[in-house]
Amino acid sequence: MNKFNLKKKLVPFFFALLGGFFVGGLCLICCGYDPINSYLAMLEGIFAKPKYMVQVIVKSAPLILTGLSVALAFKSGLFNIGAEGQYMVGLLVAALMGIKLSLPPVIHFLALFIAAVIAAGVWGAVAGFLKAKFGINEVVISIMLNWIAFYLHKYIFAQPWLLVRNLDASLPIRETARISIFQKFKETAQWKGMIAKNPLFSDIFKTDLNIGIFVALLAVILIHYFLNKTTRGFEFKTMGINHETASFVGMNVKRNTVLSMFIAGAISGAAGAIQITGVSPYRMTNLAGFEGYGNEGIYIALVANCSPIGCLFSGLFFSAIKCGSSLMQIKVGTPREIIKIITGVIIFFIAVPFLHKLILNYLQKKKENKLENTK
Amino acid sequence: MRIPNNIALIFVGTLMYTTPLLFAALGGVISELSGVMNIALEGIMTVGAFTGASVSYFTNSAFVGFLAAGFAGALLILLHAVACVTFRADQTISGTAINFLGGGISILLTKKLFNGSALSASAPKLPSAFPKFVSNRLKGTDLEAINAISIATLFAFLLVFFLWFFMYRTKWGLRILATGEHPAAVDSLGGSVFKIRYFCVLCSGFLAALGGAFMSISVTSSFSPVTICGQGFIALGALIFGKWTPQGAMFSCLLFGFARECTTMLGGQNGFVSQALLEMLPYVLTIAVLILFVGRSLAPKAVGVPYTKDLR
Repeated sequence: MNKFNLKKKLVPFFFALLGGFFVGGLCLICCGYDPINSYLAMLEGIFAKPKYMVQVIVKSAPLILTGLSVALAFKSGLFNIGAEGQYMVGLLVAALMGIKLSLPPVIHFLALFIAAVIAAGVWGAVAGFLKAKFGINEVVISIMLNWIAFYLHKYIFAQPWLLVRNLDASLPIRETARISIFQKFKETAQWKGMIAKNPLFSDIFKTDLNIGIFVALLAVILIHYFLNKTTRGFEFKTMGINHETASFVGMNVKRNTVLSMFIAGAISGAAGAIQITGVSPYRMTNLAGFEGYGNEGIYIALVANCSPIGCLFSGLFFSAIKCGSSLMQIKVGTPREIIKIITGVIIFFIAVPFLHKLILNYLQKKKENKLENTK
Repeated sequence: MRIPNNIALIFVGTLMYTTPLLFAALGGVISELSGVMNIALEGIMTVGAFTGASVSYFTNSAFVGFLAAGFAGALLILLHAVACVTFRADQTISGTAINFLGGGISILLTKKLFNGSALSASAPKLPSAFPKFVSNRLKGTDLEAINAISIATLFAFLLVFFLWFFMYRTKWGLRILATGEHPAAVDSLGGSVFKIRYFCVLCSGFLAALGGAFMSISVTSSFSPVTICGQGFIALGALIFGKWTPQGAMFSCLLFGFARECTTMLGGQNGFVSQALLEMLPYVLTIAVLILFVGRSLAPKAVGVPYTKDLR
């Protein structure tokens, strides 16, 4: 991609961003909150302390992964609205294996990660298979599978051998399966000495810093490579652009549909696995509704224009405003739902890029006028 | 155990759970038949639920709230229409945006109106579908329960018939169908694809919001962030399940409503089957039915494709 192309892609995004925060500000004014202070508090909640920044990165990992999952499916012409369910299946399998198995440290995580990824992949592949075999719309199957996964979670969560009643949470994942960085190290005497010397370190390591972000990075690189450098990736993209062409030139569209949904499911499952093993309290909690990581994946993919590398940045960005909004709610009292509105408006302006065309046209005219005047 | 009474209860419960889904699914059908994909049903229903609950609380009239919700839904989906029809935007992206906007605006305003609480105050209910003399007669009999059927439910089912008639038996309906299948043909015959699509999308928002309002006014009697919680997506599934026809949507919504009522009935009585597994049932059932009986679902050909004159 050359520079010009990149600029062409980024400019609409920045205008959408501007539009989002502007409209969000208007909404805040209408509701009687102070937009400037709210936004400042939000910025503070993102950048003010290293702790916050680490938090943004930690929280971005599952978002990047689910975004990637939706993006890959979109690239091959499928709408993976089922990322939520796949995420939940991944989380469930990882949780069960993390609680029940006892294995040595690294192997434990690898085992449960692989199991979770495969289980979620199969969960996703069901929708792909039904589409390929019976021609049933993958959207409706995915929506149903989401709910099935949700109630499966509820069912397993309520099992007496898993539930800690007075906590309303499950047993915690064994320590061997956790992926937090420096988990053990934190409890040693040496560590406690270090805290006293260096508050910065203590601040960072108090967060749920885990290797999830590296998993996400790896996934981004792999998918980027897969889509752009492999034959199968090319087949996926061809299928996404034109289904008929793909089958006409002899690509196995049915197999690719199943495979695409399998990979998409697997990536979402990875998000679930790193979430339960990486973020305290390492327990399953009682869900009142969907957690939303999967559904957030949809807009992360859309904002990124379905590019894997774009997903990395849009995941980070949305994670940032999510984290920032908590401090905003605490400090200024602005309801954090405002970020839903901002997000909605950003997505809207990405769908409708007229705002930036309007402004660019205006600037162009001004330039021309200036040129004429100087003549 | 009084069997007629129990059957009446199940009947009433099924209809109660069906109604919000049916409104939304019918809305979705109208929009998609005209060629505009509508995954914004969830957001629209949320706005409808919020508007319905809060307006009927403040005006103390469920009818005003119900209608106001419809208009609020139409207003919000106007954005979707502008994006998809005028600016030829990607309909999935725009729909996703509306879902977020709908949820955000509703919760923000609820917090504003009800002193920071995310739960609205309880609203008056919509009246029963039966006139006084019928309901008086039913009183004391085994069928007393069916008095609880709301007038909105009646309206929703009449709407199914009306839409079926309108879509397949009138020239305007056929024009809408043609717009969804082959917009260029409509255009070349002098119909306005833009006007037809705008009209259909706005109707769709109006109806979906009515569904949301029914949920908050008559089912839960207040609005909270979990009032809708995925029902818009279920309605979307129902309309695909129903093969993009009003009557098909009705049957699939009835299936969902019935299954949901069964889970509340059975789950409430005794604990021999886990509640969670029961609640899973409607979704498993849908997949099974789709595999066994329905099969290939054929969307209107032009769904999701923006129309420009040069497509002619």
